[in-house]
Amino acid sequence: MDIASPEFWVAVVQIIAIDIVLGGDNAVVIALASRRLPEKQRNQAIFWGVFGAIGLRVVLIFFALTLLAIPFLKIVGALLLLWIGVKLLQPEPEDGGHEIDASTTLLGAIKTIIIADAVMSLDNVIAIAGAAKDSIGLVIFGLLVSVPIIVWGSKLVMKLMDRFPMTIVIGAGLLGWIAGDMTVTDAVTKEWVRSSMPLLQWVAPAAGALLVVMLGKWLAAQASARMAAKAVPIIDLAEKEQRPPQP
Amino acid sequence: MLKILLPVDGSDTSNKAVVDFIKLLGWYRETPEIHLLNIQLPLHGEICMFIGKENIAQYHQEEGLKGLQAARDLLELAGIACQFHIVVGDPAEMIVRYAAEKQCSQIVIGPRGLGAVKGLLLGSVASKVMQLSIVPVLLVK
Repeated sequence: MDIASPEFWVAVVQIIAIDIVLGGDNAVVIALASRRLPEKQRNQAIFWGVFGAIGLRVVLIFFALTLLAIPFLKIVGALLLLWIGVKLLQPEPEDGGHEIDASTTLLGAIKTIIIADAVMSLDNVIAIAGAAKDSIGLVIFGLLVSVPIIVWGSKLVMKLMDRFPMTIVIGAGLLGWIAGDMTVTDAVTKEWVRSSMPLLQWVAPAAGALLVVMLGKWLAAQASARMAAKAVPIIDLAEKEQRPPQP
Repeated sequence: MLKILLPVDGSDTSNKAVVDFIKLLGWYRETPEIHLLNIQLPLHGEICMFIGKENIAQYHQEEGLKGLQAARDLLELAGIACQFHIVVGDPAEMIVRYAAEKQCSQIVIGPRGLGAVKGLLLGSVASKVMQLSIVPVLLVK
């Protein structure tokens, strides 16, 4: 890709946005999982969690471009990105959630961190590779950008998302866009699309983005409607901390 | 006794609203019952796939107590008793719901200082509360 071309800069912006959303979430999970540990163990857990997150990205990126050239694998990757995009838009579950980690043991934290690192690194790498459109330079750029975000970003990313909830919607839409793009650039679809349906090169990404945002929003609305139907009273998290009111 | 709901987030503008409200307490015939409310924004789905509910609740609670601390200190300094609460959700929506469910007589809220442009883009919490609330709202400026 030519550095002066608009596509190049679009890809750069896409990659940065993906790194903020997915890399930032990875950092947040590491911080939350190790939060209850004693300080020394916590620092160790965070260090190895961050190390794992970055290490896995390096390893995966090394394979990503080669793997994504294999027929159908881009389509599989696209499905994964669609799923993650929809997941991004879901609210906090009222009950359940995955109780992978209620424990405060080092082992429990490590387990959570390893699983999160594996899943989130994979998404992040696939998304970067998809946005980079086979440019190895951009893939490496995406990796470099994700490192500081994972290491220092968790607080910052959380603040950003609190202040501007749209960040998540944009991130999810972007994942859908890239997923759509990947379905028409897979080894099996690429030639056909280019020769007989060139319009799909634009329609597919737009449809992907629309699908993720609409499906995500719809599922979130369903969830909150279910909650409202149950008429759950407001949960006061300070109830136990509360001093009895002074007379 | 009047039951006042005072949402706070620990920011400078929120603290200023608390200080201003303490000065206005003379308006009430007797000192009202003050309920501080801190609203924590929910985490999104991807994070909840990995972190247990318990852990997230604890996190919200700790952050909530941090957000309440400044207002609690200010009220204590003024010698005024208060109760405090932490809930998770959309700020304006939760303030309105809380006030309705716990039968508060009035919501007291300061405008969140976001500046003209951001305020326009985001819609301030205060103006949303005023629109949605079924109990009287006092906007402390």
